[in-house]
Amino acid sequence: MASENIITIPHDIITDILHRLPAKSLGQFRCVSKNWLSLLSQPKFIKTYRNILKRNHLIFISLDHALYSVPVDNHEAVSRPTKLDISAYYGSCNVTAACFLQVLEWCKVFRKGKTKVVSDRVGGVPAMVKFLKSNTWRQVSDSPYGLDYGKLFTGVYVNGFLHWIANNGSHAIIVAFSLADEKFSEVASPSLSNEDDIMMSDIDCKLVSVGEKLAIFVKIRGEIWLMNEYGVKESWTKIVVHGLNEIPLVEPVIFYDNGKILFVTCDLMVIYDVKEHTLCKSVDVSWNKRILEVRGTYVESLVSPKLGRTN
Amino acid sequence: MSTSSSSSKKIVLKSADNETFEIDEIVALESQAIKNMIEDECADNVIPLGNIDSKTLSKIIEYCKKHAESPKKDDNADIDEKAVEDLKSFDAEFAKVDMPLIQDILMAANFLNIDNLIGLMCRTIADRIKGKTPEEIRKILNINKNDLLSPEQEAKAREENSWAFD
Repeated sequence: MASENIITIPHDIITDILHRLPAKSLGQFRCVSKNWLSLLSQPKFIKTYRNILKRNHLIFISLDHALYSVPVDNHEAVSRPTKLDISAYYGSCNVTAACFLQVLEWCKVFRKGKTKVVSDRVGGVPAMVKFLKSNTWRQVSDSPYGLDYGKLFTGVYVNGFLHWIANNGSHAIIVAFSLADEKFSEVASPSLSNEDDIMMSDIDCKLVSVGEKLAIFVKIRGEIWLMNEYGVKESWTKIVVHGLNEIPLVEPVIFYDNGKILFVTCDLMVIYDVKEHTLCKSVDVSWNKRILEVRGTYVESLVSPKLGRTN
Repeated sequence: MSTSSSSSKKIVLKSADNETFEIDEIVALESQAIKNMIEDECADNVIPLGNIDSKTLSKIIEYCKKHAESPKKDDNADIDEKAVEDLKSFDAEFAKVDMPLIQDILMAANFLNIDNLIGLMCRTIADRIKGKTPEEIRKILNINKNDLLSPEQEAKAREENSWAFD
């Protein structure tokens, strides 16, 4: 390093610079100095990095069966998707466990760490837990819930839990599987009038993770039920989306703070303005690789995959 | 200096090494700090910038001129894409300077409160340190020896952030 390339930057500007770096760099830079370690570990820094400068990425599988990631905040210019390197996943916390697992399986790379992954490939329900540290699989106790619905979908990862729609005998419920203690529990469904059990009556109703919130998507009715506060029954909010029926195979992906929702299809990104009730922008994202199947979203973050821990 | 707008109001900036730069007021207004001075009517004919040398100041003026000429994004949603691209490539070229000058421009932009330029310089530094190791960062950013982690602390930090290391 030539000495003329050495610079000195005041602390407040350093913060501004560090906010612009990828999570992986920042993880390494915690070893730079006491000051940097403390700055990069501050809840305030982590929160700002995560929330204000949200770096939402979409993960999808393309025609070549590889996983790709593409940032989706900057709709002005849609970036080219990048083929995912497993290490890019490792530091990000909102990767769906199902997706995470598949990445690991495909790459045949198992890293050291305390993280565990869950196999939800056996009939769509969590069957095995894999401890990355020992690289061994362990059987999970049977689910107390009938998981008929779950067979069709991979689990939806929110807040350290994987979720499925299940059947408790008389009606549909949402089952959560905790990655921390490997236990099943039930998540309160929206309060609905008796004749309006959306989860039971609509065949195309599915659980989705919109941004980082659990949601029920009923496409045929153009409805998204969003659980604003995880685990709080009263926080379920209905959002009605007009004009969705004209778009095939659409799925809500991110709910932005400004009241807009990003929907994605295999070759289109559509932004819906909830207040104005309009599809306000659509971007052709077919590039030269079509999005075959959306696998989830993640936000770059400085915390390791969280396991059943709430913020 | 610009001849096309010779009738517009001029502002004179004086660098630390006593070089003077006459610029259009519209260019000077890119700096929020100078804008405030002008609005508060506390700007004399010559604004002395005792902490900015002439090399840095001429770069800053080059930047402000280009950005003052360009149509502002907020003014018109249908701004033509060519102008945006043009400004982008100007910024990219502008940032191709050595680190000490980047530091000087950043400090000056911070003092003059030119938001876009602060952002550009921070992005540039971020890009340049992105792939570096902690050791390299310590050198480049001149980290004080007293601020270094003890070997035990560093080993612990590495262990806790092993996900970030290959």
